[in-house]
Amino acid sequence: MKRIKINQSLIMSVSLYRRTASIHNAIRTADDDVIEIIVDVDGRVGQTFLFFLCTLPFIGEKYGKTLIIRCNQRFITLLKRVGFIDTLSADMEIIPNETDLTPFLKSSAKIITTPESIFSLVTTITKEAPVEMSDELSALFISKVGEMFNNATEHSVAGHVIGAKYFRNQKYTYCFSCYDTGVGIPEKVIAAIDRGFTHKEAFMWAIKKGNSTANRIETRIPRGLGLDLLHSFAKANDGAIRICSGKVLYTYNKRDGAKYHELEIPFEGTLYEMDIIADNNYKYILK
Amino acid sequence: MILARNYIETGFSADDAGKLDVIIKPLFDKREQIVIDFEGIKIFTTLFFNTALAKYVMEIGPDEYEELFELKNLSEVGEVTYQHSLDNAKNYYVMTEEQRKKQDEILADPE
Repeated sequence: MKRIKINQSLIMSVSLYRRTASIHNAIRTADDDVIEIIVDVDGRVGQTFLFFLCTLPFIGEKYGKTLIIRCNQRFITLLKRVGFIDTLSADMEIIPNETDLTPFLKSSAKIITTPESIFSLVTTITKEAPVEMSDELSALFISKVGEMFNNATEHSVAGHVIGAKYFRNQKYTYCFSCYDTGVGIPEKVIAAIDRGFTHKEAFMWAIKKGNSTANRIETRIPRGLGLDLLHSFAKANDGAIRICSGKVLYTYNKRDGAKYHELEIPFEGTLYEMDIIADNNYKYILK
Repeated sequence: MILARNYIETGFSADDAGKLDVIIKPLFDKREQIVIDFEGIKIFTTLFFNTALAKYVMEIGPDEYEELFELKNLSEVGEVTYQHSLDNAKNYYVMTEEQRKKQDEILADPE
């Protein structure tokens, strides 16, 4: 049985994505059918990492491997608190908890299987987002976030799509994620558009308006990632967008603009994340 | 005239498109004028419009499509989303066979 030990402090930073990619790689390349992941972290732990941890069994499944994730009591408490453990981590070994903690901050993660579950999740995200939106903007927000999940369900093919939502920073930042374990964006573009592309070039091609790796077989009509509105919203709200796929982590926020961080080891599948900053001072409207 | 809200609550998914297409397709097959009223529908995605409507652009071309189809009472979100879908369909329609092949390969061979 292969053992992977996670013992570094893991909070939101580029290194979190690099570290997660290296865990993906260890799962991908393991010769053993059963992999034991031992989580023994003393330092600070972010909810994004907790979410990543809960998605690892699906990477294992993709490569025909069974994952056993062993966490210490502190970690299990954290996982229970954020509400991820009950919905996602059937293969985790759970030590009985000593205290009965009420899940807080409306965190949850679930596997997306139907159009109804996408609609339900994106509607909830839009309602829970700690900002006031006009009716028109809410409708467009649901449409665009829904588009993101619709794309993910097509990209995932035989894989899984997992949606998550949670608060960070004492309810100051509302974060939602859409993660699919399918073929990553750069790989797909390289295979179909230009085999000479680097991952970064392929990713930049995919993010450009009008280019698309998501279209339905029935119609063959491209849709594009539909990120325009989400970028505009992130800019107005001082929020952020992150997309990680293959050897690229794309980040966008008002201060730094768009940035591409190269990862040495490919991140499995495609992850979209958006941070919305709590803001009671304005009503966001569609211009 | 087809009153969309009699068949769907949102224009969100391929399933929504399928529900509407049950009504659209028989009219399309007879090349009858198709007028769809989207009054009361607020949520739309390009996936919906691609699957419900823009696919017909691929069958008969943009000019004939625009003569045959008329959409009424689309919300602002619907209008923007529909236009995006229609533009993509028109662009795809005018692609050369070689360009289409490349585009199709993107989805057809995901593994």
